Amino acid sequence: MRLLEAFRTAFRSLVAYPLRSALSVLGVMVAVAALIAITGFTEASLAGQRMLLEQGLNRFITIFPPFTIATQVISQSDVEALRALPVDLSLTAGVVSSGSFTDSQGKTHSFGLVGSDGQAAQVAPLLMPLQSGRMISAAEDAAGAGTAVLTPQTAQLIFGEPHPLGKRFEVKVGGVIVQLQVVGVFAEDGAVSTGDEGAALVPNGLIARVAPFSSTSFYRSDGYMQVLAGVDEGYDAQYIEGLIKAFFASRYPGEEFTVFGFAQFAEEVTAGLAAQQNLRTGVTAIALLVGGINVMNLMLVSVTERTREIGLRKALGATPGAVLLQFLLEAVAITLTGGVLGVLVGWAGLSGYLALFPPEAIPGLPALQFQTLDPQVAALGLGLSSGVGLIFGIFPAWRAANLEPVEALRR
Amino acid sequence: MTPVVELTEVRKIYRSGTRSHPISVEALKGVGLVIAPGEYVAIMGPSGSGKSTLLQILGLLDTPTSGSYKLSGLEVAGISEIERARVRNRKIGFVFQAFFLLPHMSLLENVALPLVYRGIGLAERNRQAQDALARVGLGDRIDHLPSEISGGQKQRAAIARALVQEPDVLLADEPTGNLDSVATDEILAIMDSLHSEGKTLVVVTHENEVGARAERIIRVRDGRIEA
Repeated sequence: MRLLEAFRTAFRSLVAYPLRSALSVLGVMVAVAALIAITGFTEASLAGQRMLLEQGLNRFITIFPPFTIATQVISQSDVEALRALPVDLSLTAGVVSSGSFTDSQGKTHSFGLVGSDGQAAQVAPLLMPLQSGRMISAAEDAAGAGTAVLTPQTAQLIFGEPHPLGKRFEVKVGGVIVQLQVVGVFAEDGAVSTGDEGAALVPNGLIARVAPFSSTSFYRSDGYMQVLAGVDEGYDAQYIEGLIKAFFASRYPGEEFTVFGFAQFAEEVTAGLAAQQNLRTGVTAIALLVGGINVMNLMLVSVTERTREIGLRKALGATPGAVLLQFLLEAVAITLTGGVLGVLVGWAGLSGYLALFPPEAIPGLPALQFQTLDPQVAALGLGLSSGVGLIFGIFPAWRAANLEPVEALRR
Repeated sequence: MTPVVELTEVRKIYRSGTRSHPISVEALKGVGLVIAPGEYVAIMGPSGSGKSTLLQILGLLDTPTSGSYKLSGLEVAGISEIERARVRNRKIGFVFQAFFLLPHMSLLENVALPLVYRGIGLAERNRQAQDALARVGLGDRIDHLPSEISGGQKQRAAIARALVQEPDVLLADEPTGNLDSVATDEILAIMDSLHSEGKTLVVVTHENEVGARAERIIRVRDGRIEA
């Protein structure tokens, strides 16, 4: 009750010297706003990566044969051997071929065909998110059906519209004209990518049927150009990544197979978070130090200017402890006000920024979830600002408490 | 009856200067003084005589270098700073030449200030402060700031602030020094009425007009009380 009243008195003193108090409040406010904004910003900017990790991205491993010389592919026997590894892996393998597409103006475009065994949706849904329609099925692979899932860019190129589901088009593969029906459109152009002007996912069986063992282009259809592995839960993805690397190194000495796991990516996200926390801690500490020195300066000036007030209060019966408490609470009132404003300003600023530049949602996944104001960080901001008031206020308050009333009242 | 003030052989030596060239000034050279309850005493003397030092020691704002000071029978010469604050709060009311009202507080809050340090709640403080202001004729000015009233009214508010403490002794240091003659008469009249109510008053002044209102004049010269 006494403390509450002392706090009220402290806030009234702030109001009595508004401009000077405002400047000191501002210093602490900037520090706390920086803490809130940096934390919230990093939280928002890493929300996408975090969601991918939560969805299990770190359990994927992609395998490509050496790209430089197209002499080597991943053979069916390689895939069988991979499946025989003593770990639980689900695999999807794709052959790759190329052809061409001629548009209505008679212009010819290169066209890449990526084969699917019908497992891609199960093994790596995150890497091939759909915008509309469906994926290639295992039955279509077995039958060598003429179905295709287009990239958005390809859909625009061929049909001039984003979702040409059910429509047909023709491509020339290995000298043969093949008619394909669109069953789906990917969310991203990068879902399948061959470096051609157009690209589609088609059944492996189709490529095997129309272009068997083609060696007419960079791409070959006598083996797989891309294998995606999904590591089952309970296995260390990084360990299995190493296992697969060793597998290819022993099977194809001297050849560099690319084995990329997303576990490494997960580590990078974690490292990014740690770096952010260090940055945040550093910036906040420096800003609070500057703010604290400012508050100490203000309080020392205040003690000097209010020498008479201190003397009077002592003459009226204020103990050194009561004077100490009064000036300490005034310092805390300044820094705590700065802290509260800093939380609000940091939060408002960050919310405004994110409203103007929202982090992009990941195709095929629910909207990003992130906190613009973490209650724990807000509490940290308020705690730190109060602490700064206590630390930097103690010396001026001690000086006030030890003023001799006789000196203080000398006219 | 126990005297309110009983000083015996009180000395005050101020030391300053450097270690190699110390300067010491003996402001009080063995003062003895007894003031009975209900007395109205004026302390007079030229500047530098030690009368201000004497008042500061009487008010426990300063401590004697040696000697005894009994306030209402209680020895207070050697007590701690915290105890001195407590005694100032309970037993001594101050009235200063420069009023010393806090500028950002209303008259009511200024007058209630000593009670804050007694830990009295807000409602009770305000009630007692309002009574005290009414006693000095400022009952209708309680929400005014000190800057909004005249010098005489400020000093009346300062007297109210001393009265709210119900002190054993009221110490006034040149209470009319900053006032014109009309306001001076006002303040002296209030002091007279407090005296007639039985309050113990000690006034330090160099104005004969003020000293003449007291029952007894104590003249201080060169650190000693003149007989």
